[in-house]
Amino acid sequence: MKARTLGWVRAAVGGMWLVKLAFEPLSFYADLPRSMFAPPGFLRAVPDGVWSTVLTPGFLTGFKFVLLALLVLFTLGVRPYRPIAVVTAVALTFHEGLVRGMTFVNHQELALLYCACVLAILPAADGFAWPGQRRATASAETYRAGMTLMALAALVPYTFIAAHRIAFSAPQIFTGRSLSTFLGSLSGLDRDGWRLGLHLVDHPNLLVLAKVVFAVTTVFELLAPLCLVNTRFRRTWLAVMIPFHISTWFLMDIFFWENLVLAALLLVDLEGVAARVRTTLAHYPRRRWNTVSPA
Amino acid sequence: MELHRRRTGLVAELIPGAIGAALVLAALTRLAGVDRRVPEALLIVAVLVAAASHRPLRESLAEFDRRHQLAAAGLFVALFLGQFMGGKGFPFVSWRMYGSVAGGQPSVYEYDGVRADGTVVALVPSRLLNGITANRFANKLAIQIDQLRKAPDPKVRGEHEASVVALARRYNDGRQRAPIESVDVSRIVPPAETGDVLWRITIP
Repeated sequence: MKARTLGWVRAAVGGMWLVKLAFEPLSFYADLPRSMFAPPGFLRAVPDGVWSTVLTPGFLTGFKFVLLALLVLFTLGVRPYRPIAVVTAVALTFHEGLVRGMTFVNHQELALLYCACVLAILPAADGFAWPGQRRATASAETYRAGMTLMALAALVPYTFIAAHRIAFSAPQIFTGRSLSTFLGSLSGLDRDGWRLGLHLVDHPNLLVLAKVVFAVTTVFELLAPLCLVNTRFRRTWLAVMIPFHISTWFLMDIFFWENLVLAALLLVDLEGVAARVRTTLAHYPRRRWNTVSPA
Repeated sequence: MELHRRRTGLVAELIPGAIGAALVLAALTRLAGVDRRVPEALLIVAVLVAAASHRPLRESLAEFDRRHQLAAAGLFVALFLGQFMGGKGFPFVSWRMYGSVAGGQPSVYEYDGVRADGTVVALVPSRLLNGITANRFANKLAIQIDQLRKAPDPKVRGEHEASVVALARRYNDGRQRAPIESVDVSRIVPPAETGDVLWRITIP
């Protein structure tokens, strides 16, 4: 595997974070009552007095712009890459803990966060980086191992989700009223959302189909890491999970688009696709602008 | 990735067997009344062992130097432990999505701002905050309302009112001539299109 492939993934992960955070009104969290804030995980080690400074509009706005600047440098792979990437990963983790501390601990963006952390310890700016030409500092096998590690970090959580659901709630969660409750409550969370889940609840036959799909999807979630073991299973997994993620957007107004992009980056042979694109483009002759012959 | 293209006959038999065994064990432990974290852990370990039994995958990760191998091992240990620690292990959290049996009627909560002249405007988080923040904040409001509907709690009530006020003030920014003066919090039970006002919050 080439260094530039890992560079593509680095740029894509950084780019996704920029898209997510560029318009985030981080200072809004300073308007919420301080008593709501419960720092999760390692953030509990931060002294209480520090949060009084952090949870102010000025600090949060400043932090956001510093984080965006770091993400730009990370996305471009600017040198010195390793310190920039590590500081960016730490800042992203702090940001994610902050917003969860004020609301609740959920999963969106965490797979993307894990990938950013993994990229911080890999030689991910040896290719497709700016400025200047770079030379590979590691073997092709190391770059490939990095991709494998990121793929596992993104896939293993699916196994966790399904294992918990099966161990704690199967079979009732697939046969009872749970799905209609989920669809009804989540679909109505955003007044401007699709709200299709609310309509599905009204149609018993469609609801039965949705329950079957829910159970089948759970099995595929459980077996997610096996995408890296068998090509046919990987293609089947993508064929099931991509429509699943799109359907949750329409039915529950929950769209894990970053997971879809990660699936494309980490489970598709990017170098093979790039080679095919180059081969296809090579068949189109270039227009020559300077070949007018004198009469 | 060429490791995907290799097939090992032994693995092709081992993986379904391992997973089948895990499912049977998980079902037996459930029936025996064992803590459900046990079958959960069994299922996770079975799938990870099945994946690890694929030699090209192991060999791929073995290409790392010692430092990176330790980091990778640390990552997986942290992910596994985090699964059983709730949110305490952040950023390694419990991955639980739609993992609990839910019953009762679904609830949809809506917020309507009332101006001084009596006109009502929809107060929609996604119109005032960007996508991620709006979804997170709307969920938080719903959690607060669910808690208050189950049992009144002055602390939660205070936080809920302050959260709604923050949202209303965001709307009022730039609308000084016709600000919202109060917010009606309503609950709608699908498939109904309208619902009952649970309470009204005055904007100071």
